[in-house]
Amino acid sequence: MSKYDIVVIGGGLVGCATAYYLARSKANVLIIEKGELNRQASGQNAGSLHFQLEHRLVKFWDTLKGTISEMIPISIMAQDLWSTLEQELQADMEVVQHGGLMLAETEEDVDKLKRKHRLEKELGLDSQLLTGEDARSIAPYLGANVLAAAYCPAEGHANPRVVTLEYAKKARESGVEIRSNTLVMSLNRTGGEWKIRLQTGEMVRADNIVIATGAWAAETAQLAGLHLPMYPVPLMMNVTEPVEQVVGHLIQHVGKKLTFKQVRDGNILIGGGWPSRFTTKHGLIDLSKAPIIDPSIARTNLKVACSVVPSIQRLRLLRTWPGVAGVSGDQLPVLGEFPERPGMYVAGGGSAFTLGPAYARLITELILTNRTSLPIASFSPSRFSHLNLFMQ
Amino acid sequence: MSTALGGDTMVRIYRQTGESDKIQLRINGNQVTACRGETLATVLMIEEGVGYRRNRFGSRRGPVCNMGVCFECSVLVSGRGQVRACITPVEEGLEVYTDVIFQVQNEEIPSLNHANIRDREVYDVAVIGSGPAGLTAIRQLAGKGLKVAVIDEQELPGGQIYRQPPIEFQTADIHTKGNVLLKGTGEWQGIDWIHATQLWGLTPLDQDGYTIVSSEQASLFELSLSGKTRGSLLVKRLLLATGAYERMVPFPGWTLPGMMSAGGIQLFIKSQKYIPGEKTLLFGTHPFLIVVANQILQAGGHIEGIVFAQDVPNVRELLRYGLHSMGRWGKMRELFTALRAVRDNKVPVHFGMLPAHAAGAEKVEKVMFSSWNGTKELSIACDSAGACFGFVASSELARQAGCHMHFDREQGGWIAFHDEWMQSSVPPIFVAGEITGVGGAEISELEGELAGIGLLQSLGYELDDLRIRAKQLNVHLASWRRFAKMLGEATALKPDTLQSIRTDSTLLCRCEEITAGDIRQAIAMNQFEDVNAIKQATRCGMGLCQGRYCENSLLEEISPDLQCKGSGKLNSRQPVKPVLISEIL
Repeated sequence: MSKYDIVVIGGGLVGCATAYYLARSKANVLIIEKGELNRQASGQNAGSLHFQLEHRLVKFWDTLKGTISEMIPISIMAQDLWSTLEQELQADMEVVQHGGLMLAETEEDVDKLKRKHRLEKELGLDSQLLTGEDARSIAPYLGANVLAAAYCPAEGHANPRVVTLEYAKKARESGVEIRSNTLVMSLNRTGGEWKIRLQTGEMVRADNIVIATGAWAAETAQLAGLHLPMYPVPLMMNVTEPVEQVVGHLIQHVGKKLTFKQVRDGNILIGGGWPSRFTTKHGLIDLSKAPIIDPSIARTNLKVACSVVPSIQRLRLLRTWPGVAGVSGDQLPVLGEFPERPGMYVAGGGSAFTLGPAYARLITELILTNRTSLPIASFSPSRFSHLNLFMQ
Repeated sequence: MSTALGGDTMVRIYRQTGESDKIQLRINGNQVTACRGETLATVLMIEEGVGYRRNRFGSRRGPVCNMGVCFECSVLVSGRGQVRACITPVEEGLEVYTDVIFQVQNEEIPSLNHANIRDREVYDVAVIGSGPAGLTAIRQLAGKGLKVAVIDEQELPGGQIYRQPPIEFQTADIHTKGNVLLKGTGEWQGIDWIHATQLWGLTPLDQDGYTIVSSEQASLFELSLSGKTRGSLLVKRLLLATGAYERMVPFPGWTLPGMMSAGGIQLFIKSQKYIPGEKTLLFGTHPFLIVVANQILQAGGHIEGIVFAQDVPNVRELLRYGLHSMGRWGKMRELFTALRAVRDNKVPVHFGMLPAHAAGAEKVEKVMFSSWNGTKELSIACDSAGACFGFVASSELARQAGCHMHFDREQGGWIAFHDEWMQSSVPPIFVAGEITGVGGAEISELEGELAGIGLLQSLGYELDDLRIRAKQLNVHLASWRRFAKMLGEATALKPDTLQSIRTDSTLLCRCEEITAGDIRQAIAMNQFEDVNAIKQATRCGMGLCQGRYCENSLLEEISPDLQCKGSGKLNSRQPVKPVLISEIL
């Protein structure tokens, strides 16, 4: 029976990055992935590097008022990590941090933008408010109905098709073992260590396990007998044909679901959290099949994009694709050790592409040194202990 | 006639010049005269040469399929966007640019009031594709009081094999194949012909018109349209008769301008009265090459040679082919007539030679071949080359709708399952023609007719004597399918042969310029078993043709023995082919 210091469950960005950071500190690590590496949200998202408070948070400002500020330090950490990541992994991952614009089209949007910007400023995030005119002077492709924009110079994008695979490559070189197409069947802690049974019948032992299964994290936690309020959400993206470089920023919208960027190959990716539809079985969500895209939702997403960048109407829509992301019950990251299960950690909770390297670094610090460079107490899974009071 | 490339001339051997109206358009700023009825591809090839555009990697490219599949003919039309030149008729005053230009200025986007907008109008049946299979099905459905929509990308019914010339070029005796069927279309009642229109997405709905996720439980489908007709239709039944396209085989130089599909050349002659070259080479594995050769000769073109990959058939094989061909006199007659023309014109025919390398500066100038054991070589100079190594079924809509598919390398790759009424595993969806396995126009006609009967039955019609006809059709089909199977076996090269004729530096994905070496490296590094994982990691299959020309090669690279699992199928998503955003909003 093989024994590891840490078994990471999930071969996405957070899993591969965590394994890499752990192995760099000489830990003996195994990654177990039920499918192929990078095939779920890590590879299917559109690669935005967004550090301003995003639409999904701003929309629920009043509900999140007490905690929304907690997101800013971790964003700043992620911003710094991305700026050196290509150097660190010695890989071209198409990381660009050429600045991002969050747009406002109505007076109400402008107020939201101002409120958000004030809080970010207070907490040290570099961003500035621009008038519509100023925004158009740096981004001439923006349409006339953009009233204002918040500009964050560190925003940009990276290529999700390759980031996870580069982390995995470096992890392997640092001694990490990777087992893809392997399903975990059970997680048990006995005799002070974890016993992980695989679909093959094989048993693996580990001192610690890290749940990095994103939208599947609730299922993984259940293998250890615990509840974890992580929810799968079905999303969709649009991509245009490749064209000459024109869009030199990450574009977001403060009042609407929109992200918009042009990648190095020239394609423009248009998304922003528009839903696809889960396949169902007996009325319940069936995560084994990819969600289905509703063309009317794709069209709505494109209309939102055309309202702020009208000239993209002249482009061909090349493809749409669905993906499943994991979002926590309260929208905040879930990062830490389960008080009910010593040696069981979780990392994830939303925006896990932009924040993935930071999640991975913080959970690595916690496992190896029991302290972290940022306070993460409010992200601990212990905030859901009330759900596990009755779980054995 | 301007010759942009290398001073060679593109012949317009019997381009219509007398009768048809002349119109003016601009190409890259220069005034050009064209004939109404011509496509942009024809005009561009005449004016600018076959390699009239560069892709974004700077490589010269030109039309390949001439039927809307490869997207290699794309050009920018001012005020509209990038369009496929091969399916865009010329219009007075068009401004066309052959380089990729994205206009940043925020122009006023004209309203779409010239388009025919449909808003969820309900039809009993929609037939997708008006080739041989679609047409016989439509004939069966006509006059029964049903509301039937026909959706096709081309301007006129006929599909590819029965492709009609544009109205402007039509004369009484212009085509023979499919004539009988096409002549009848005018009398068919209750048919709404929606042409020059693309079905870009289909959504399952329940009986009240709400979106559901399971195709199997759908009562209706919503069809999203773009092109001349836009908006959407609701249909109770759907017949997918989407045909096939030629299988292109990657080998060094296969993407040079002038390297076309044999069918692409044939379509230029059939529907544009234009021969895209003075010295044509034909190569591949399929007897279709002989048919195309005959058409080129009839049109007054010149053929440098026909090169078959197979060895000269031995007596035993000939006997077997002969036995299977009994009763298929029409097909045999066509082939023998063509063979006679090839012989009379002293066209050199070679056997047992695999393509090794196509060379040329800006377009193809010669193609080199090599015998299977490498001892013999052959080099043929040409200015255009048409390949046919068999066909790939256009099964994207069936995949997208969740129809149960299976893989048969020799019958067109991924093809749809069906029952004896041509009904797929998704009850409202019927399938006919090449989508069920590539077999040619005759099988497609039979399957279309059968599907028409199946559709009537599923809509509650009393079949009476149609039931007997359906039995007969199934009997005919059984023997035709044996013939098609034999033809598929005889013309499909084995995966290891196909792998051996491409080197690590050969482009496997022509749209995104991904090489076979890139694919091999990605597989070796990540132990990928899933074709979509390779697509994601390498971009292979992410281009404008959406993987239509690389899927089979990808499968060969993952699993040379092709014991394909369910994972060996590229995801097919909306839009089914790229569409202009302005035309779907």
